[in-house]
Amino acid sequence: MAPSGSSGMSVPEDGPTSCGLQFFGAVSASISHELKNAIAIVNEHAGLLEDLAALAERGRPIDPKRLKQTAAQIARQVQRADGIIRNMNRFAHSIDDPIKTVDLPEMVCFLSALAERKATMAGVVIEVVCRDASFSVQTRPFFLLNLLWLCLKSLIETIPSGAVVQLGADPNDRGVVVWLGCEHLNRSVETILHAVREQAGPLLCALEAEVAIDGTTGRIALSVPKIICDA
Amino acid sequence: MNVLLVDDEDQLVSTLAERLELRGIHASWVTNGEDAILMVKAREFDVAVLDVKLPKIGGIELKRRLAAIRPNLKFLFMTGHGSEEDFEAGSREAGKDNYLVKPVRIEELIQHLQNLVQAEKKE
Repeated sequence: MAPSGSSGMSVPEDGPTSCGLQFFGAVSASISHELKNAIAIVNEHAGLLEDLAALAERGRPIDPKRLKQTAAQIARQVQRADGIIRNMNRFAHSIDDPIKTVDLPEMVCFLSALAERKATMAGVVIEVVCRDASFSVQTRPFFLLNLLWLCLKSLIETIPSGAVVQLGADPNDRGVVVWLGCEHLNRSVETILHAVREQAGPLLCALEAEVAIDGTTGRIALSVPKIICDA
Repeated sequence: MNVLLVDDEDQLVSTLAERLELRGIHASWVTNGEDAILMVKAREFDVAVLDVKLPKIGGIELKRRLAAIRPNLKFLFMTGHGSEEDFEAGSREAGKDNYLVKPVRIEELIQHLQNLVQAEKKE
């Protein structure tokens, strides 16, 4: 039976799953694009080395500094690609355990890494303000990541280019509150909240989570329980 | 030949520009649409090579804005995706022969650039 959530909505049997497939597809496409770019840059640097070697064969001396610089840039792209693949692997494994204890600030950092390209394309900067914190909840990690992604995506798609999105998490009596803030949020916060509730209804139920506007700060606040009932 | 390269990956466009220069093609590069517009307003180019996915102003929209400034400017699209959606968008705007998927082979890029410039001369 599908879990019932605090929002009182009934969960369609395949609701979180079909939502999750869309999420998986969106993140995979973004990752593959990032990887393609890193490969394309390595390709150009390799081509440049070939060009310089061909010139040297024709008698034009090569500046060793230029070679070192190109080699360093290749190494940087290899490191970048390695980071992208690590994230991809971590993302793929986030579906392994239906319920697991997760460190929320760590998950927020991971979400920021996954959404970086989407933010860059929109001219938005993501700032994580809970990097050094550590507190955990027992939850459905893939669904929670999906829900956070939907919140962040809706926010990025609504705010103007040049805006800064702040992501944070704080423990509370119920469990944890993950929040998303932006100085340009005021006018659009209701629209974003509506979009999240519409798209993420099944996820909110499955996670026993609540999404609301924090009356004091004006941020989008996502409240998740310390331990999910099914655990 | 004067070419403008537009891609948000600065290392990609700067190295590509350097390789084109080594082959006698004058290449300038920028990493976003706003700078491309300023560049095209200030200087004449034969061809603009645009990434389909650019921050803020996407490649398709940028092509329209640049064409409004310089109606004779020719366009070539490149993308990392290679998805059908991108191919359709790119080929609709620039023709299917003027769409390259990254990583790009320099000889192939030069061939496309030459074809575009020669086609203009024939016109």
